Amino acid sequence: MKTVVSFCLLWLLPLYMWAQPKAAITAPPDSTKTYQLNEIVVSNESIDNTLNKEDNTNTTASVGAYLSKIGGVDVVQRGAYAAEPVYRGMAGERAPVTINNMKIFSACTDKMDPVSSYVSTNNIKSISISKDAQNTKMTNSTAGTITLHTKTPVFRQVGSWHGQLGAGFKSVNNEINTQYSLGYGNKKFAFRTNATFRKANNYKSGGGSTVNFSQYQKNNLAISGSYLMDDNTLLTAEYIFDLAQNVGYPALPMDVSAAKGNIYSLAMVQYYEHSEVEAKLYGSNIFHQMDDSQREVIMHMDMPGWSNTYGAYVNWTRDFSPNVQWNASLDYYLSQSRAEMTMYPNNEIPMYMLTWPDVQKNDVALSIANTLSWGDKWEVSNTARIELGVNQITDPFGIKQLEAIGYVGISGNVLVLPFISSHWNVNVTEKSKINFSIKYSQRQASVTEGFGYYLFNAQDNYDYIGNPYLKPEEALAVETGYGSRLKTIEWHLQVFSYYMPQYILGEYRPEYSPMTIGATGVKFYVNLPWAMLSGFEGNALWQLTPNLALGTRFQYSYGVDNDGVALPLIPPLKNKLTLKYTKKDWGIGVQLQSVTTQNNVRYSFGETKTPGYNLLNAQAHYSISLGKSSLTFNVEAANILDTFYIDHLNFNSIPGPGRSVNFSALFSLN
Amino acid sequence: MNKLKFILTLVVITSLNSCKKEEAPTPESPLKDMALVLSSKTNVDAYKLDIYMMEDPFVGFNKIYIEVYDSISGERASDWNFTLKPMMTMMMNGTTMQHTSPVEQPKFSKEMNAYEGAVVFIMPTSDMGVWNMDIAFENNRGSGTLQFSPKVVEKDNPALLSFLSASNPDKKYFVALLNPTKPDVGINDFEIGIYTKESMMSFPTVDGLEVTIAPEMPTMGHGSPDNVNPVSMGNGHYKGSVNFTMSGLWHVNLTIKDGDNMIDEGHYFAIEF
Ligand SMILES: [Cu+2]
Ligand SMILES: [Cu+2]
Repeated sequence: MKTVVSFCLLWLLPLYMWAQPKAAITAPPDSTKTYQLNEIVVSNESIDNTLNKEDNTNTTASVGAYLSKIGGVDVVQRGAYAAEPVYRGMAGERAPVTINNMKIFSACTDKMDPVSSYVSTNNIKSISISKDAQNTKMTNSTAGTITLHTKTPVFRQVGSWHGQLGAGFKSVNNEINTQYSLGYGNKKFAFRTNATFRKANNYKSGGGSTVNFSQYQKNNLAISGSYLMDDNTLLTAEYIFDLAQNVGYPALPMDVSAAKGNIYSLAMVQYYEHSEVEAKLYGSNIFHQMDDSQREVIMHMDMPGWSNTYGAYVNWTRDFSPNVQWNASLDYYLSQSRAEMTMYPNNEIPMYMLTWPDVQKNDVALSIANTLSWGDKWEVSNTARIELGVNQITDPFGIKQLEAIGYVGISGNVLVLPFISSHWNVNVTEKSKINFSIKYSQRQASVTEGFGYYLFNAQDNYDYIGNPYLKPEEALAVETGYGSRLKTIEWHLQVFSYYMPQYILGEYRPEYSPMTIGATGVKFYVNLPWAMLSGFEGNALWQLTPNLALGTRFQYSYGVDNDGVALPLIPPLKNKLTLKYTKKDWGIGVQLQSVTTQNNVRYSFGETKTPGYNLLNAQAHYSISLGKSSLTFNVEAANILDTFYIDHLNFNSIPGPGRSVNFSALFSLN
Repeated sequence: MNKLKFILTLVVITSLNSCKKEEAPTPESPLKDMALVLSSKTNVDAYKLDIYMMEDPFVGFNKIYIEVYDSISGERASDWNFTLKPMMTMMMNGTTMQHTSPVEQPKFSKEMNAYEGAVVFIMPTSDMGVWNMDIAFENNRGSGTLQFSPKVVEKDNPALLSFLSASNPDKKYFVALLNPTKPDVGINDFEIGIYTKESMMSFPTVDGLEVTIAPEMPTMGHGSPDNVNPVSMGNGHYKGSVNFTMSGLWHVNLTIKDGDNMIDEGHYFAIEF
């Protein structure tokens, strides 16, 4: 603890001294403005979510449901809990998730705990995707960095309290959700806390059969405080605690007895007349304990996982003129990932291996970006980033394990990863916009891809072994979009294509025998010569009358490797058609969710063609205003026709939930 | 130092008195962590012998180290000759019979600063039979014999296999596991010794066989990649390497052939760690 504090002071000192000579301050802290927003904002796609604004006030929805509202985002479900976001058919290190720009790594070797599972919905202010050139606070990735921004404390002119109290219920799995948030703010000091408790039984799929092992229970607590040291220095501390227990994963052979996350940060923002410097120190400690005691297994196993990350970044922004902004950031983190597997046979000594061999990653990155504009018409932003990653296996047992499978003399690797991009926005007319961007990026392999040891994939029934010799996966991406806003119609279409040399994927090695009992064989992660992924996403909103709107949102991705074989876990064409009637205090809507058949499947990944489906949903909401406070009710009928369906991204072909009536009530004191 | 769990019966049939361990300081030795099975004066000047084994005697390949030093000056001797002669005496239906077992006669090892030899005990000490080990020594100043009676135990995971040749049922083979002595995850040296029985008094080594290994975790039914089959190094020794991908119980299955003739298939060494 002591070292953390002194380290922190070292960081702050130069910034503070730098601040001294500048006396005049005009820029008010950004933090006072945007915090009441409850809306999901996506970079580049401003009109995307206007239709769903009401839905987003339903804080009893899951984070996965929130994510799914973003254009291009889909989720992989391994159960009812902890959906893994997929952006344009890309997940994991291709589309990493951060919380408030903090690097966090999951502790589960089976992807049971995507980073997004450590935040609760009533703490999410916005979600952004940094694809190319708007932001230096990101990671080198193929698709983009998905950042969950949590709600921050709100300063007020006169000290006052505000808060929310909410409860929700879902009939399909008897889920109950109770939550609160409480905040206080005055001119100098602001504080916020929120907590959520969720508990659910097994859900039923369409037609009424129970999906066993889909229950879960979760506690989440967040506390944050901000202090304005003087008019131009803002200090913010934040802490998140998350505990999920008894979480079932019907798509996997194991469940979770406990998944625990502690995430904390201390940030300082220094405002100058035309610039801003933000420095942040952060850490996260994630513990994951899998459990097969409820399952019928030949032998019980213990599979704990640990992921600890400590990092710091400094981000500097300066407006040189109204048309020229520069941005730079220096980013460092240290992460340690360890996972073990112990099996307990009868009358025999336990069997043990390290599935993640205690991999320590030291990673430092420097990024520079600028945004230049010419009049109202042209805007271009460029980003260059260079990342140096040093991986080291710190447990000798892990090094010896790798030797046993042929990686002799390997105890880590070093990667240098470049990123460069340019993004253009052109306001063709007052009502229409074109964007174009091009980027080249290299991403690092995940711990699983680089160093994983006999990790079982329940979808294709293979054990996977990492490959420390993997080259970074490259991506050359181009995309363009056109949007227009007419009197009653607005629409946007974005088309993208990724050419990905050194695409990382598992390859069957018949000479290896699998570790997992019943597994078909062993796959090693390899670099394919290349893969290609293209698609589009778009939306349109037609305001039929001042109160009645018809909207649609669609997305599609198509990916193949250099042999023309489909990439795995690529969502088919999906469309959501919504008709919504909204008055001041209430609104109703119906929605038709249509998904086409996915015929482009990767059989070697255990995929089969997945039939399309249609789901019919309806929502209504009603708000009562009571002076400074308000009461909002949401009712939703999801999958009204009780359709049985399997989404192509549902891992191991588990069926989605059947008909459900969901209620929620939210009392807010502003 | 005294880690011996077994009771050592000590008979000294030299012309000198039996020893008293405290008498002379034992010089610094790389054998310190081993089990001292015998410490004795000799009839040669003030020389003493310390005999060490890696662990309690067991059925299988046992290394034996003999340290020879002057009990006054501490000086080591390296020009002695030793002959080990293990002998089992068995009582069966009132008749007594004797047999020996394979041995490697001690040679001086600079690295250990001691004489290094080995004995392959082919059966455990029991009610029916006891082992005696004669250690005969000679040099230019004298000669003599020491004897001790090791209590040989069978390990939980046997370190010696014995079987009749599949292609010649009159021929008995013994295969001893020499390495790994400290199995661990990763790459392990794998070494075996192969012997045959010519008579009760002769157990010669067998060289030039073709040995194939296949490690397996029996409980999980998987093997491991990249193993190196042991090849004949002479003196009955065969060296290769075995890979263990995780800890637990492993079986290293052996297939032994002499040219086209199958000698044995299906026996294994169980190794757990
Ligand atoms: Cu897990
Ligand atoms: Cu195993």
